[in-house]
Amino acid sequence: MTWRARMALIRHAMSRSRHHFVFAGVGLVVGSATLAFFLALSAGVRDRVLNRLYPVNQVEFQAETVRLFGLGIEVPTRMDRATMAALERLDGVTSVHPKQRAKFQARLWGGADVLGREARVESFFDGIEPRLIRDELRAAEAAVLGPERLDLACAIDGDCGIGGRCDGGRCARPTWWDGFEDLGATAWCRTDDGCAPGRVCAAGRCRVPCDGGCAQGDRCDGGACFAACGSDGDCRPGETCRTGTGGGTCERLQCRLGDVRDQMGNDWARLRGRVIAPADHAGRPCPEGTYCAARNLATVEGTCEAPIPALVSPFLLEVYNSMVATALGLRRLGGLEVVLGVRFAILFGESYFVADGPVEERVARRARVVGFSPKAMEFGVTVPLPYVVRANAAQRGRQAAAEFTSVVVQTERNEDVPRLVEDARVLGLTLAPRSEEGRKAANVLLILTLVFAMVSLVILGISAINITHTFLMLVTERRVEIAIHRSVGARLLDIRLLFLGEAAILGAAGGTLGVAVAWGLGTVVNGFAAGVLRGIPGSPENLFRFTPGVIAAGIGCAVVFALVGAWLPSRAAARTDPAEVLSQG
Amino acid sequence: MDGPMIEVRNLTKVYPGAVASPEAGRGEFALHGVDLEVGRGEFVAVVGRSGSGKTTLLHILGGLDRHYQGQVRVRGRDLATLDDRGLSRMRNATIGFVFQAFHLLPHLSVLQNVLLPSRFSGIEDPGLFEGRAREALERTGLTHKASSLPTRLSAGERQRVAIARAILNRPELLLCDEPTGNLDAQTGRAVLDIFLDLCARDGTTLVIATHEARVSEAAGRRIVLEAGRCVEPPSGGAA
Repeated sequence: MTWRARMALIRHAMSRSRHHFVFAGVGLVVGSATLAFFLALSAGVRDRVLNRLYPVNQVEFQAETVRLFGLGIEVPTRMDRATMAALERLDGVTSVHPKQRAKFQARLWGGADVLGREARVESFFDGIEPRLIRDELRAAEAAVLGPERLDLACAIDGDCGIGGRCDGGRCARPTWWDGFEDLGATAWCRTDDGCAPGRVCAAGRCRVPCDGGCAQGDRCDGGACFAACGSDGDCRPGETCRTGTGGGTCERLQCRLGDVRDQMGNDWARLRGRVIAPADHAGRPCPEGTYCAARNLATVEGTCEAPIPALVSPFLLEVYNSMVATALGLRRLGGLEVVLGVRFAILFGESYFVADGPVEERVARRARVVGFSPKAMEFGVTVPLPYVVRANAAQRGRQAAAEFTSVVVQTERNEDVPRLVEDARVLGLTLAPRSEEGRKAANVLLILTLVFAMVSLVILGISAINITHTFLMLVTERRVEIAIHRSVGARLLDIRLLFLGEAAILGAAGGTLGVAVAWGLGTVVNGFAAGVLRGIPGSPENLFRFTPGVIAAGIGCAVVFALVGAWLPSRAAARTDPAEVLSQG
Repeated sequence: MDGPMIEVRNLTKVYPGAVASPEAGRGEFALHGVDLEVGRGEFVAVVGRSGSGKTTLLHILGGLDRHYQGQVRVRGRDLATLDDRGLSRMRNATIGFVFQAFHLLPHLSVLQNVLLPSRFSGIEDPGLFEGRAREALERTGLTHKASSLPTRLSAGERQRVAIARAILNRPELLLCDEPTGNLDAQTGRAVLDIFLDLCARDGTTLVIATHEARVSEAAGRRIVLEAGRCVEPPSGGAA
């Protein structure tokens, strides 16, 4: 019997018993809809919520603490470049991204633009590698500001408004996420110990040593590399070409703050970098996008620097709105977009909790919020790693800058993570609390998914029993037809396949309808959730992910259960005795 | 191929639940030690009272009933040695069945009913079978009813559809169980004429179980069954 002939018979049979099949298929629709709904929800929550907070292929490790002789003193194991290199060599590791927290006290001022008054708080901050987070920043920014490319034709940048760009004839809005990078900063020093690892102190600044070879076009002088130049045009913004004995070198533009008394009086005007007499800039202020940053609070002499790009956590905004704004009578912040571009100052070496450092070691720097991320510090700000390394070296010495607080490891596949955790343990590393939480959250999600999948499978199981009853009834109804088929040459297998084919089609149709129902239900839930979650940072537009796997599972399970339900009836059909049936007339 | 179309040796069939043993009572046997031979192209009538085993014999000869003892050969092949695939193939290509109750599928048109054996032939050639089906309908005089449903047909027409279905694959052996039992005399005569035509023109071997003297008289030979045993036919008359 050919499949075409078989399908023709199946089609005939199903069209005759439409009501029976509709009745038998209801359970399949409900079961597969439930299964697809929860699998899609689980996949959506995992990928669009959980994975944002705790990426499944990213694990954060921190140094394991060792308890010394049971004395209650816990000493963390070292986590330095050698540890990073060892991690990189582990199987399945694609990249390693160290993180470092500031290891000195600092205060933060600012936020008047959005808060209505200056906020002054103890500041904690850490540094992460920009490449680890830029894609996420871009997506988060697009979620609150809309797509980067606008539906607005243009010829030049000027057609696109302030900050806009003309890109391929279409305007693009100003972007913030791409500002999260190391923009460079003057690292003042007296000795090598005040410089980050891999830098030497030369001519009062931390520089790249010559022993590793200088970049092309750079000049080696006194053991350090200097960026060679012939004019200001050869240097980066905020730098000038300073002519010396060995030729021109790019240096930050020098500047001078307006009022030295302001520095000691914690005057915000000072922190804004008001410049009255740039030393070598002929009275002009620092270039646009830079400000005059004094070397320390004891002097008015400084260099033109770009504000430090910073990230804040959406959680911080929630805390501010729910507690701080209420308690202090401050303005509540509407959405994450309002924090983009907010400027503030960080005062390194000052604190509300401990004594300030010597005035020569206290430094005021500007910063600007360029993004928000759940990976940012919850009570503090996160900046590109090099800023923290330089600041730790300047404030606490090179050794402090050489040791990292934690490391984010990216793996090829999720399945690599458990083995990686074991391998990292050998290196003296343990899961950071955030990753540990992520694993727990993932396990909870897995358990919930399994529970709901089991519920769905029970529904499908019940529908299979229903199918068994329906098909047994059909077999009884079609005894004569079966016998006639046998008398004209149908094999036992043909009879079985006819019934199993009907079941498979019933399962496929029920499963498809079930997945469609789940999808529709998901759309409704998304609409409801959009209303409830509006304004909540990081809330996804779509909680569901109907992947090909989810769809295949929904339809496949319905087909399998339909086949299971029709298995016994198909046997009974094949065992129908044609001689007995046909002799009954 | 030489040899008889049907060879039956010591065929015994007991009713379900009974045991085929010499001690078994007469009433438990559907067939008991039947021997017969039917030549190719022969028209044989199997006569006997109701319950004498005529239908059982036809079902065994057609491979529909495999619960028997003894030897049954069709076209020289022992049916007991054939598996389900072989038997089904034989029912599809070599044997045609015609039943007293017609056994048409009511949801299929006349043409679709006639085409039913082609579904199980394993041959993908709709044109070939449709041509044969129309030819069979022409022989049975039902071309004009091809698209009708069986429920719209008279008893005689239904039986002619059943015959058309039986001869679709041009079987060498036609097994007919009381084919005229539900028909009036005139219609029965017309159906009998079709059988005679098949036998004469196509050389089809016909084995017809019947009560009707007219049919058994038309047959070349009569086999009389009595309580499952084959007995000599009374000379010159129908059973």
